[in-house]
Amino acid sequence: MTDLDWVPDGIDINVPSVARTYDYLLGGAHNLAVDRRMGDEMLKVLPGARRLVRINRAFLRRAVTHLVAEGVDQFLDIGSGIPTVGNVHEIAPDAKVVYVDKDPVAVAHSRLILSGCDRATVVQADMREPEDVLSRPEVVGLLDFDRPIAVLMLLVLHFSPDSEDPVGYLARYRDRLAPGSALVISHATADRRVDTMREAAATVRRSNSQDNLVYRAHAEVTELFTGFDLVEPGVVGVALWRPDGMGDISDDPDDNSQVYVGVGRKPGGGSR
Amino acid sequence: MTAALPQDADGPRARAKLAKKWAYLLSARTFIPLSTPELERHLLGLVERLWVAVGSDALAQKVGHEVGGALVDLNCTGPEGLQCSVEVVARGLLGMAGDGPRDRVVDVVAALAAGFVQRVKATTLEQQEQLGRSLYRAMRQVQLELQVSQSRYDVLENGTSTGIATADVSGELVRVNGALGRIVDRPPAELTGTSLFDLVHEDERELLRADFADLAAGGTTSITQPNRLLRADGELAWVALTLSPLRRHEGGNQVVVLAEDATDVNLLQGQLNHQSLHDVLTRLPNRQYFTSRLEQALRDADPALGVTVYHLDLDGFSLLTGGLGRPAGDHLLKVVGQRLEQVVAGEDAMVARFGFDEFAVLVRNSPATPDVVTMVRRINDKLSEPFDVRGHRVACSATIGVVHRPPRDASPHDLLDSAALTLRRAKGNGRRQWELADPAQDTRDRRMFSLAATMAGAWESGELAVLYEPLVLLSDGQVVGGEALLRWDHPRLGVVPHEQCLALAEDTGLTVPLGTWLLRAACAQAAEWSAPVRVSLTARQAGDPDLVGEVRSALADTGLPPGSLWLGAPAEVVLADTDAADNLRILAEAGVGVEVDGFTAAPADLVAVANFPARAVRVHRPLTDQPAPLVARALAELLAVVRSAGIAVSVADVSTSAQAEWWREVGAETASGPLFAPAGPPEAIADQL
Repeated sequence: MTDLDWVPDGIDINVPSVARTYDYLLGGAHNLAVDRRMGDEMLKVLPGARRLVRINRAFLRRAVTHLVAEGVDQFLDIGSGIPTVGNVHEIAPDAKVVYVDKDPVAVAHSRLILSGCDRATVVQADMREPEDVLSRPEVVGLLDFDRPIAVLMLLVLHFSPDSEDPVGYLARYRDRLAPGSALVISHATADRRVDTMREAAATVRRSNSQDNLVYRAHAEVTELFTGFDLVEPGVVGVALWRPDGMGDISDDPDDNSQVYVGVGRKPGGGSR
Repeated sequence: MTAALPQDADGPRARAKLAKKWAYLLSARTFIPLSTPELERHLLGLVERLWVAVGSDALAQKVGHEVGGALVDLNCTGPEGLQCSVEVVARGLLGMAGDGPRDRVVDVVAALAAGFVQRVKATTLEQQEQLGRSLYRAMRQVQLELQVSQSRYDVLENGTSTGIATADVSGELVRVNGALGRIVDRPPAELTGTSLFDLVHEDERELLRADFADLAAGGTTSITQPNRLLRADGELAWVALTLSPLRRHEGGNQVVVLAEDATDVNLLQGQLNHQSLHDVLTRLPNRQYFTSRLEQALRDADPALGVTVYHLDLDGFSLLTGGLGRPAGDHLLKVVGQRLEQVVAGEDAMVARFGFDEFAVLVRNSPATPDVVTMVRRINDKLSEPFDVRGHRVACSATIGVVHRPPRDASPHDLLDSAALTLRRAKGNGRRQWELADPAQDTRDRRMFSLAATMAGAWESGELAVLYEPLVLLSDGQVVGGEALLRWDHPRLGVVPHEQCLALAEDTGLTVPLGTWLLRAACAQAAEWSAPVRVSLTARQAGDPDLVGEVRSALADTGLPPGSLWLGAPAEVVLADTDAADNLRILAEAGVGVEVDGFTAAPADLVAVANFPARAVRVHRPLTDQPAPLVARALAELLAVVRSAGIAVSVADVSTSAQAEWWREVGAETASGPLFAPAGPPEAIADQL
């Protein structure tokens, strides 16, 4: 009388995982053949995919470094994926960090990596349910909600269609954060390379991935920061946000604006 | 053997330049989790070590190897990173070595490549192993959770007295617990593979199928309803069935069926409690519950805004149940209940079912509450959205009585009475009507209804009598017969005249039996007179399927020749394609004199009457009043047309001799009205005949 003819989302090794494909494109080996197949398909359509992943990861480093310099020492990294290299707790060695992902493999892996580290932990949860995420013992145990927290949502919101009301659930995160808290977003767009990006989304869809790409225009990404004051230079192409080296940009100018990024601060708090 | 290295002052600068160039090229090709200055510093360290190694046989191999590994540790794992590193390092070292140990540069760079490959391989294997471990852990975690919930489920399923089954989308049971087996007195194994619907009483199958189809098609809310299950011993088991959707990642959706044995004492208690305040079919509050909530709302609603009560009656509900059957009607009632709840979802409101096809809505008004007109429109708009019931597209409408902002001290019962009276008035205006309560009107209505309520008793005790109004030949003033009329001598209110008697009879459903009684009395009287008698039928009487039979038996029983019975019926039913027209046509063909009442000589009526075997047409006021000369000429010509079709003209409500004279001139045959003798007992006519 057992009913085990199903496998939960993310553990079915016949279905590619966004987190593991990202790891592959970043040069990691925490991935399976099915993930590499999706990655290779993606490279066919969008040859710059590796560069995009590289400069997005470089943006994460700059954003976190900026916030640390501003005095933020708590991070909630939502959609953190497989922690290969350049993770938040490594970039900010004195900060407290909670990683959140819904992919059970990414979470199990993060747990493995983080074992023995008492200022970083990981939670398996769905970003679309802020009340659940923010009430987990790991989250409330490690983070102090009376002080600023930076919520990072890198390359995840473009898997959330408008029907899920991302502006609405982001507001529910915002309401729980102390003044001075931050929101960091990177989000793919089809404002340029329209056909290529449409083909890229179709590639993901064809792969039977659990997640599908939803591109947003500049104004729509800006709207995601509702209730936050955008830090200079606002919502811009990923490479245009305070670059400081070759590693932050791509030779192909289209790459540099293929992903919009921004950092917002919740008003009311002082910054250092 | 150690070869000398150039030790000029340019050395450090050259090495720093090499590190900078290396960092530039590398960071454009691969992600390195360091800022540019950090990376340059890091690579400068590697360059320094390589430079030392170039100067030492002992170190060349070892350091080259280590630097290759260090590159991989920086996340430089791809071919591009290696290629650019080999190029930039080899060129740089060769440049710096000048004429020095160029061979050792080659050794160092070769070792770097080897070290790189070795570390990439090791890292890949290590990461793959880690991934495998993570996959295993994630899977194990899920399995553990699953085992816990599975064993919890097993305990629950085996230990509970609630019947639990899982059905596929077709209703086939794929899993059945022992309790369900006991409820229906069959082994669970025998039940799997059979259809859930076969297990349910025949009368409830359709409804259950509809609910089930909702869930299978993606409905998300559980549905609970009382049902009867068929037991193996032929008895029925009363249960509360709850259907819940079960979404599955792979394979089709399923439906979980819970059957709570309704004979269970606790459950019964709970149900009785619930049922005493709720309607069983729609699960809405009933009148009792509504009344107590109304009392409370009157007390504590915002005095400036008050409450509003809507009393609804579905239009044509009996027609629907008559045509599509009772289960269809039940389904409709459930849908109506749900829709009303949707309409007031944003309000502090209660929806109740009052009875058969009546619902009520109580709204505690807020500043944002829409006005009554909007609310009524929303209700009827929502109700008129069609839906499927047993393969038919059905929509409905409601007639609504509204009590808006009654005084706070009103009693809930008076308020509901007022709503009901208002509803009746609205119904008098047709379908999809609505009306606001009007206290003055209420008093009048209330008197009429109390009168109507006592009518049946009055008839039995002989308070109702038949009087005869003389019908006069205009040509010579002779009385040719009488028109039978009802009169109620009410002990308190005095005389209730014919028209009001008929209106009261319509309200109480007495029309047909009272009409039959009047008809038989009139026929008997006419036979005694040996003169014609006229009886006016209401529209409802004229369309009664038994009319033809009743008339025939009245004629047969009294021996009155059919031509001596003049039956009047309203023009709008005689001259239309109605059951009444069919009835009267049959009677006319049998020789009965059918008269078209309320004839207006409108062109359409004229055409219709020419095609109908009528004895006569009768005109009433205001047409009776002598018309202006121009109209008079036209009317005279039209009536000539009627007469030329062999149809007589009769005129009622004649009050002056001038009117009588005019009508005589245009060829009218008979007349009645205040000018002549009033209605009286049969003897009065007999004297004049």
